[in-house]
Amino acid sequence: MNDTTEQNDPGISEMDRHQLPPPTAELKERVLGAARSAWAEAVPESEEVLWLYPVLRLAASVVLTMGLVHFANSAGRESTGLEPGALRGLDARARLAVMAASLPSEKAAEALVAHQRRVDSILQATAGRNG
Amino acid sequence: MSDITTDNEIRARLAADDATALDMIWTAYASDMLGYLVGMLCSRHDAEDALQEVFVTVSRKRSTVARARHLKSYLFRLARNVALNRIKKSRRRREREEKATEWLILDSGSEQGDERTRELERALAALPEKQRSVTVLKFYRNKTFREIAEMLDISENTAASRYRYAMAKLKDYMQEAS
Repeated sequence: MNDTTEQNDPGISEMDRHQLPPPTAELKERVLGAARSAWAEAVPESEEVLWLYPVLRLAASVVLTMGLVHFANSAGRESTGLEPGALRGLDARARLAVMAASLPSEKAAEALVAHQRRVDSILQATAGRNG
Repeated sequence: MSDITTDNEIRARLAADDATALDMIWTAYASDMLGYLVGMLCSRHDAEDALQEVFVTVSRKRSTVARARHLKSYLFRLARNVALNRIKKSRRRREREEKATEWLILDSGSEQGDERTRELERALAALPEKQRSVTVLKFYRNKTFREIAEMLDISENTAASRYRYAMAKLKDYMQEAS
């Protein structure tokens, strides 16, 4: 570092008087010797194996995702007692009735019926306003 | 040969399972990596052991190294991880600091100054590791900020500011010491 503007800096001037010793021939021999031994012991991975890892990871995550979706569907069916698609084709009122009847908890069913009544009153009020 | 040509040749040899790639890596990077490791570990002995560990790892994982997009920064990242593991292992900080001497030598033209050399080593050892690494590469390996940025996978501005902070701290430390 020979920037003249920095020459009066005590840190710089002290550092200028020193150097890092370069790697010695003995160190080169030792390091490359150990590396060559490791090279001989380690079997290189073939190209096939190299691309196989990401594919296997992808396959594993797909299987895991499908498992989670299946588990979530089963849990949903168990909690409502309804098969997926059971409510398809029904109008809103019928859906509420079916869901209320299928819920295991009476409280939940009552809440749904109350909700249905509120919807009814809103619909009637709207119909009254529209003449 | 340019850095890129050298790196491509090293990668090709690694991929072809040709052990002469190790000699090429040594020629291209051993001095800088040793300087970097000394800067991180503040110990010539530990840095030499760490350098050996880096080369052994390259041998074992040669297929992965061959696919590295930026070989230089990959090798320095590997060196950094090896050094950090060593720092974690030497749990007692005081023990590390006591070992943090005798990694610099006086220029041949300079007068004797063992105590000043140890003082400078202690000042450098007191710097945060990231600042110290940049300072050692800049000062003792004559690297530009651009080269340091490439090696350490940081921006040139970051390298320059780490160096600036380090020099300011060194100045204070050396002024107090004298």
